[in-house]
Amino acid sequence: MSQMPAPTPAHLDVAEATNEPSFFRDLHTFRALTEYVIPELVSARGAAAGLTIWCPACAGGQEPYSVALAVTEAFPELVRNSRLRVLATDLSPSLVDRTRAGRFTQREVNLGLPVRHLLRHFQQDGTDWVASRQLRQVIDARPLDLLGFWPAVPRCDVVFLRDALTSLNRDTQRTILDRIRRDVLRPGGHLFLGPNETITSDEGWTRRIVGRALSYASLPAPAVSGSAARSAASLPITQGLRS
Amino acid sequence: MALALVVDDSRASRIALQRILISVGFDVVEAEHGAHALELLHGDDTIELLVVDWHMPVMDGLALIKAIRKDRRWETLPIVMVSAEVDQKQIARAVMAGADEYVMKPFDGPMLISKLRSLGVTLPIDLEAGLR
Repeated sequence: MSQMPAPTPAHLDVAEATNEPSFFRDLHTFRALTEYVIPELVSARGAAAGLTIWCPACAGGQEPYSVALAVTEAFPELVRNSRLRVLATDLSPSLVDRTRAGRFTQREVNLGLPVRHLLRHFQQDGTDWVASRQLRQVIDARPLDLLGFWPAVPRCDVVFLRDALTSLNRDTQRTILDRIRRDVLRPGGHLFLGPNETITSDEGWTRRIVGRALSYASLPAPAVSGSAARSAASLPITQGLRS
Repeated sequence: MALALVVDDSRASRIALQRILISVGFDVVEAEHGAHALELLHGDDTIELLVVDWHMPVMDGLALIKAIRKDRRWETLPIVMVSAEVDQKQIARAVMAGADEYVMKPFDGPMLISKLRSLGVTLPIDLEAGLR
């Protein structure tokens, strides 16, 4: 995976200079999810099928709750019928606890959370805002080390791996992406990366344009790739790199 | 150039809002209260965005929003309220009156810009525009 920093002209400093997590960051990704990806998945898998969306580095919860909100608003029946699961994992147990609690500060909800979502799906508690029970029930928050075993990760329809790999070296990035491609993403599933991240077809992925966003899907598996490759991908990263 | 109207009785707030909006490509006109804003709106049909405080002398932000939404010319004008009112019921009042978005003070650039994006306002300069 290659990284290319986005241009940041000096005059944009006032508006854009933040690394804070934000709700609905890169909004076109969420539009792609509700306008293209979910309708396609529901059509392919049938109206009764459940959907699992994984946010592997959920931080304080802004991304998984954005996913849950976007789907709840666009496809309320999926949530009503308990057919949506948003798996939110992070290395930090405290961030997982925060995500599970669905509690956000005033500053956090000021960053990207539409006011109508705030009023409809959150309750004010002092200076904090707490997500509704219905929304929290969609979120399955668990600690997980992306470099270790992934026992809690089921087959998923969509993976939001946005800017989660930037601090890792290229080999480790590739191993994680291989594991997602082989062991996690269902056929027809979508992987979303950050806007400045890309993977190439020689890494086993194909790029798709969905609305104004890019997603990645698994290329058809080689006919004889051998069990060795699959088992290496199933190992924790440290062992996988050694083998 | 896209024109935004900033309405706030605090000069410091107007300057802060103006800096943020200019940084994403808007041209900005200012008003100190709601009545002044209505005058400007009547005199300039190129205003594409209204950013308004709540508590102001002469005519407050809520009254301004109600007056704007009564006029068919401005029924789709994007309105963002930026206010120190942070109570859920008060925020709901602003939305009921016709505010499309709401930013609780204290605010900064990323907050306002993220709310403009979620509102669907086209930013003249936008690093998150996605594929075109």
